[in-house]
Amino acid sequence: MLIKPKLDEIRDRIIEMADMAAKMVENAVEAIVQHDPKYLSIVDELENKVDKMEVENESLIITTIARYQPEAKYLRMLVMDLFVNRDLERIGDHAENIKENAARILQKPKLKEYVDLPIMTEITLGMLKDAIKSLSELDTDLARSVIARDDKVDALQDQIIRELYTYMVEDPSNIKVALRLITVTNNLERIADLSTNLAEEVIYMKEGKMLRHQELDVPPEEPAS
Amino acid sequence: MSQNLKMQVKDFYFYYAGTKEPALKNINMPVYENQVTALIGPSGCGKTTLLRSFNRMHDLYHGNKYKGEILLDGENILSENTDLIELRSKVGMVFQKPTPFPMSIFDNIAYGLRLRGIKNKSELQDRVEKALKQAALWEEVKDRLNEPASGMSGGQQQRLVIARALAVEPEVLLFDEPTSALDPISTAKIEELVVSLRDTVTIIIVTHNMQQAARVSDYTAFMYLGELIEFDKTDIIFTSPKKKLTEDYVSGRFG
Repeated sequence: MLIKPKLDEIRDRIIEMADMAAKMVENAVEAIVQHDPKYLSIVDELENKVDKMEVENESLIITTIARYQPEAKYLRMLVMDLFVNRDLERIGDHAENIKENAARILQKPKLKEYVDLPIMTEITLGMLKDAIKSLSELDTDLARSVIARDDKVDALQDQIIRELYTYMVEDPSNIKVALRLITVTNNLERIADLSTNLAEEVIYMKEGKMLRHQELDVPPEEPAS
Repeated sequence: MSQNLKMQVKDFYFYYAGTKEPALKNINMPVYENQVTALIGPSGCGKTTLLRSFNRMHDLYHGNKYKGEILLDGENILSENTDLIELRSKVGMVFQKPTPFPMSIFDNIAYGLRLRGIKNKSELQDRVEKALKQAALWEEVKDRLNEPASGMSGGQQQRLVIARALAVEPEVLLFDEPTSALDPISTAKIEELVVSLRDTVTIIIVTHNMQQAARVSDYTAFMYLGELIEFDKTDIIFTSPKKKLTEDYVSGRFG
């Protein structure tokens, strides 16, 4: 099949881009949790690479569709690759947003020791990394487990916001940092949503099932770790 | 990617015997080395006429006339001193229908080599084997090299003909609708072969199957009514051609 090497090339590039996006998220939040700006510069660096790659990948995918006129599974793959490509770029944008808020948060003293934020980040990053893994291995069980984890992220965000309210009520001088922290949780929540999209896209690629805006068809088992 | 020019068509016109109106008008295009160039366009656009000019097949009929230049490594092959036998061994051709000679598989491949004076048995064997391997046919025929080529399937015969063309180590290989007489599986094999041969030879292919041009070629020339309308990378011709006529043709809005 003449199309096969093209599909492999596209997949490799997307995985590379996904790894960069995950690294951006990781470093942007780490700067806040560690209260250390040294984690920030790499985010900008990767943002440029991810943006450039998005455009290149898109053109590669469109050209491949035009030249090889894929059908069935190859068509599903390439169309989903287009969506995945865009989702990853957006994840990069959210990481960049977190980074910008982090830079402002770091100008003030640490509001508190963060407890839930690292947990929310860990779950979100876990979703993102497993979504990437499910993509590279076309593992739809793993993809379903990603989708199931989204609710936890939403619950954690609610909890963080509630706690931040108390800090703001206690002392209005906390408001600036607290609002920025809330924005950070919004970005994390969006990253979890986009990771869910990635997982749904993997399921469509492999099985041809559209799971968007529906309950999971098969309840996933709890992941071992 | 920087590419070397292998052939170049310059201000080229072609007139069939007894006609005043040229069949090809003012064609200018490059042919890059170790790349696949596809010629596409509707029936009668001149793509086969152009292909047959690259090794002067038109000379087989009296009265045909070329004007302009076609360069091969900088030398004008339309010049009167061109040795046509030499030219056609450098620029080989594979036709629409498989044309095996009425002899054994081995002798089909060895034919051109013997013509060129190669008599040594082991050298013949080596080169026949190499050519059959290049044409992805060796595994299928290695145990029946002495059987008549007429007993092979159509797809195998076409690969045999490609092997025969490859045996004399051409620099350019012309394909004239090489799969139009073949089933889809044989077609896929020939297409993969064309793509893999690119490393060894420069390829020019005429096909009325646009998707085939899209799949196998690096560059595409779109022709219409004897003129070259657009020449560009295949990636561009099939996603964002510059001329409306090209866009209409590749989108299937034509005729």
